[in-house]
Amino acid sequence: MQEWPLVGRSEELAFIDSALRRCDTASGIVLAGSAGVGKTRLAHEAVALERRRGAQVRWTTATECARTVPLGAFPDLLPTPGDPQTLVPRVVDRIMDGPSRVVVAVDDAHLLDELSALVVNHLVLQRRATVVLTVRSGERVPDAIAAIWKDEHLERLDLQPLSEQETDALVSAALGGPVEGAVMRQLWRLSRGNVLFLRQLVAAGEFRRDSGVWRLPGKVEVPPMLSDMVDARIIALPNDVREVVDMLALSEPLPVDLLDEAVGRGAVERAEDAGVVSVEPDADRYDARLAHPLFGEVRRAGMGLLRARRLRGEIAIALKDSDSRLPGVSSRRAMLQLDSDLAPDATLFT
Amino acid sequence: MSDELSDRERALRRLPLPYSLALRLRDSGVDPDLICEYVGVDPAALDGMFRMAEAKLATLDGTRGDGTGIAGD
Repeated sequence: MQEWPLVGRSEELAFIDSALRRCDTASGIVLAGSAGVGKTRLAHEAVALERRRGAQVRWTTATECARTVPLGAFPDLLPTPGDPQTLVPRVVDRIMDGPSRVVVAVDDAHLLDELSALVVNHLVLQRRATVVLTVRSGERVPDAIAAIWKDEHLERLDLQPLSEQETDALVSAALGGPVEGAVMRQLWRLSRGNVLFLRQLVAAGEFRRDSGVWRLPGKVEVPPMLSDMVDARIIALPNDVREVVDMLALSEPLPVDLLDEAVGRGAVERAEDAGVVSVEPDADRYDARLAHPLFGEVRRAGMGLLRARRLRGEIAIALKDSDSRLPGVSSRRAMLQLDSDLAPDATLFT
Repeated sequence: MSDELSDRERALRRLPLPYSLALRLRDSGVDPDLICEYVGVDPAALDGMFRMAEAKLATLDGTRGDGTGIAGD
C-alpha cells in the first residue's frame, strides 16, 4: 500500500522536534499509543528529521520472538566474551562507535528483552544518544524502559487518534480529492481516527471519482485483513475478557458490576487493561463500552448464531436485575430477548 | 457568553475527544491523577497531553495554521 501523507500531526511533530533538540536533559521522545494510531510513522518522521541534520540512525524493531534472546534487539552488537558487569557499557560503546551524532530508535520497545532494555536505558541516562521509542499503551513494559519516562529522563507523548475533521482531511489528501459525506461518516464511525484501520478500510473500497468527488457504490465494508487483525487481537485475550467483549459487542454500554457478575469479578478490569474496553463513570455506577467500534463490528460478524442468542439472553436476564439503574432498560431487554434463546416477554413492549 | 468563549468552545468540540476532555477537566479543577484515569494516559504524559491539546486548540482556533494540521510529505 502506498504511503499516505502525514495529516493532522503538525503539533505532534513540533512537540517531537523540540524533545529531540533538548540540551538541558537527555534528548529523545517516547511515543505511546494504541495499535494503529500512528506511532511508528511519527517515529520514522522523527528519525528522518535527525538524519537530515546529519545524525547516524540505528533503527530496530523489538519483537515477541527476539524478546526471548538476550540483546535480541541488537543482534549485530553481541560483544566478545568478557566481564558480564561491563557487557552493557561495551554494547553502548559499539553503538556510539563513529564520528556522527547517533540516534537510536526502537519500535515496539515494550517488547524489548531485559538486556536490550538496559542498553537503551544507559543510552538515555548517560546522554550518549538521542533515543526515539514507541510503546503500545496498556502493555507491560520492561522496568528499564518505563524508568526512562517515569523518572523524567525523556518526555512521553501519548498519541491520540485523529479527530473527525483530521480524518476527513487525511482521506481527502490520500485520495487526492474530497470524499462523499456519507462515505466519510462511515469511515469515521468505523475507524474513529485510527490511521491503520482507516487505511485498510479505504484500500478495500472501490472508490470512483464522480464530478470531482470520491464515492463508493455501496457501504464501507470491513476488509478480511482488517477483520482478521482485530479478531486475532481479541482471540488472544483470556476467555473471561473475550466474553466481556462479546457481550458489549451485542449490547453497550453495560454497567461494570453487571458484567462482573455475569462473567466474573475483575474481568472488566482486565479488559480495560488490555485496551479493548473503556470505562466511564455515570452518576452512581461505571459503564463499560468497547474501546473501538470495529471490535464490535468484527465480533458480531464472526459470532455463531447460537452463541449470540445465548449471550443476548444472559444480558437480558442481567439487565432485569438492574432495572432501576439504567435508562430505557425495558426496551433494551425486549429487543435482546426477541433475538435470544429466552421466550419473548410481551409485557416488555407495553 | 462572549465571542471569545464561544470560539474556544467551538474549537474544543472539534478536538479529538481525549484532548477536549483533558482540558475541560483541568479547567474544572479536577485532580491530575483523576484526569489521567478518565483520559487513559500515563501520569508522566499528562503535561505533554495538555501542551498538545492547547497546541491543537490554537490551530483550530485560527490563531495558528489552517486547522487541518497537514504536515504532508
